[in-house]
This record gives sequence, structure tokens and C-alpha cells, in this order.
Amino acid sequence: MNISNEQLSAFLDAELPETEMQAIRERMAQDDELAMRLAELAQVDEWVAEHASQIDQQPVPAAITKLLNVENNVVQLSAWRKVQNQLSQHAALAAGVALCFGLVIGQSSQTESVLPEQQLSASLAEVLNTANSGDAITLTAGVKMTPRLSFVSQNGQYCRQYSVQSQAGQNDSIACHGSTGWQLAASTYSDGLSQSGEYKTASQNVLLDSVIDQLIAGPALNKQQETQAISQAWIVKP
Amino acid sequence: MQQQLLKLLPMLRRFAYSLTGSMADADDVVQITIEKILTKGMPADVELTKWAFKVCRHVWIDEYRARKVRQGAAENPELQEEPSVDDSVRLDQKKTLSQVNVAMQTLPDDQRSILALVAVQGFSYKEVSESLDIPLGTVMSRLSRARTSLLTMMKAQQGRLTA
Repeated sequence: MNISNEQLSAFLDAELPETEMQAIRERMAQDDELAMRLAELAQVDEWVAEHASQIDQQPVPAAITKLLNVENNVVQLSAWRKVQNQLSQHAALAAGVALCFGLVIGQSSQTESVLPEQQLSASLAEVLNTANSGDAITLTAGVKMTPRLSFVSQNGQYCRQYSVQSQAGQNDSIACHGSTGWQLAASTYSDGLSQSGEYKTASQNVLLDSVIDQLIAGPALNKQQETQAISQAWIVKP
Repeated sequence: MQQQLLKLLPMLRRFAYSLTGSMADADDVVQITIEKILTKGMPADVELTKWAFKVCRHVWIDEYRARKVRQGAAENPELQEEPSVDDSVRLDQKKTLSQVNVAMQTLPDDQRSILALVAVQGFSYKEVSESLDIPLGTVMSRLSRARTSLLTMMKAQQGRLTA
């Protein structure tokens, strides 16, 4: 059976009839070249998604936030996450191919969600892992990151609010620590720093506060609790 | 409606950036899209997400591009607009992403839209079909062509760089 690019592409999206899906899975288990073709197609999607996500780092223009009638351009990622969750089968399959193509393709029905676009970069995650709130850590010349607040979410995860400041502006975000590390939960941007270069307090940012209100369970962590969370790698102990 | 659009904003920006290859153009397209939806409303029987992507694509193809001289893909406009905040992106990743940008710009409009909706937004074929008003089989074939064309172009670009 020759498997066309169109079939393989639709297989990647789990859009073929189940009998056809199964036939390709069986073939895939024995045909390394076919598995490689599938891995390459999955790579294309990763490239395209990663390329598109670059615009997340760009502040939303004031004209757009004005249209949407919000003071600060807070962008909650819940809708994006929902869509990404729908991707789970596709993403899990792609991940499976990337990790061990040709070996366990038959397990494509796994449903664990893979959200690489929202995973924090290693340098940001390292600061969240190790720095107490209030500590300003220089990431590179002119760019510093400061964790601001830590709390436990209603989902039982540790979450941290932090800011990244540069000449270009200030990015305030909230990330929560899940099984795959730090995941972005919400992000806000503002152009430029205040005249003195000081941090704009979170309380000025009503919408970011509202995101914290939705997430938080109980009070924010004090310094002792935060240090303990750092020592246990931000894994919530039962 | 504004709150719903606010939630959609990151997805719309990613979609528009995939289509235009320029962050400034993407935000212009998104702004026009939101203006249109807010001022003209939408059909009662349509889901806002699908409608927003439909309007966004329409703005890009029929209005925005017609007004603006299209930038050559080889200019890599996003290189000048690269945000300075995130320093963690390695140089080779940037190169790869600029190659993706070049390759995306060479895809036919329909293929680029479909690839962006599936790979970036996670739409099912049915959702793409409804959003773009094209048959399901056409979604499947154009998406496949888009993926294989982009892969071929990326291989060619990377081969040229390493040769």
C-alpha cells in the first residue's frame, strides 16, 4: 500500500476513518521511512506554530486595546489553551513521533496535552525556579526579570507573577507550575518604563489582578513559604 | 462581544502574523478585523471564533493587501521587529523561524490560511471548511500540499545555508 502525502497529512490530524488510521499505524510500526515522513510533516506544524507565536512577545497596539475597551492589554490565554487542548491527540502523536518514531505509533490515542508554545523558555523558568519575589535577575544586558508574587492556585499548582523589563517595555505575566514545568497563564504588556525606570505596580493593572483573583486559593505565599516552595522545586506537597 | 474578542486576540494575532509575515501588518489586519466585527456585527447563527477568522482572512486578502504594496518575503521584515525582551531564543532558532516566514510567504493564499488554522489554531478540517467556505476534501488536499511545499522549501533553504 502506497501512502500518499495527503493521507499522511490527514493521519497526522487524526482526520481519516479509523480503519485507515489503523492501517497506517500498523504500516508505520514497520516502516521507518514512513515514520520519518510523518515526523517531518509534524515538524512543519511545529515550525509554523512557533513562528506565529513570536507575535505574543510584541505589545498589543494601543489602537486595538482601545477598540476592545480595556485599560491594559491583558491577554488571557484561556481560549488559546482550550483550542490547544483540542489539539491534544495531534500534538501527542507528533510528540510521540519526535521522541520515538517507528516504535510506539500504535499508541496515538494517548490524550496527554502537549503545549509547547506556552512553555516558558529555560532562562525564564530558571529564574522562577530559584529566585525569591523581589529579587531582580539580569537575563541579559538591559533586560531583567523580577518575580513579584507567588501563590497556590485553585487547581493546586504553584503560580508566580513576574515582570520582564527592558528599554522596549515591560511584560507582566503569570505562570503556573504543572507536570511539564512552568506554563504561561496570562500576560500583559506596556510600552516603555516610567520616567524613573521603576516597576509599575500590579495593582495598577486591574485586569491582571482579576486573573490572579480567578486563580488564587487563599493568601499569597510569604517569604518563608516561598523559600520552601523553591526548595521543593515548586511541586505542591499533599 | 469585546470581552470575547479580547480572549480571541492572541489567536487572531498569531493567525494574522502567519498570513502577513510582518508583525506590524498583522496588527493592522487585526485592528481592521475587530473594527469590522464591532461596527458591522455578525450573523446570529455563527460562532464568533469562526466568524472572526473568516473576517480576518477576508481583510487580509481583499482589503489590506490591496492597499499595501506587498513586502518581498526576502526582506524578512520580522527580523527588524524582533522583540528585545526575550533573549532566550537562540540564533539558530531565529534563523529557522525567519526561513519559515520566507517559506510561508511563498505559499498560495488558501494553503497558507488552512495551514495557519490547523497548525496554529488547532482547527479541525470541519471547522476550517466552515470557516473558509470550502469543501472538506479541498481542506485536506490543500493542507497536505501546504505542508509538503513548506517542508521542501525549508529543506532547500537549510541545505543552501549548510552547503
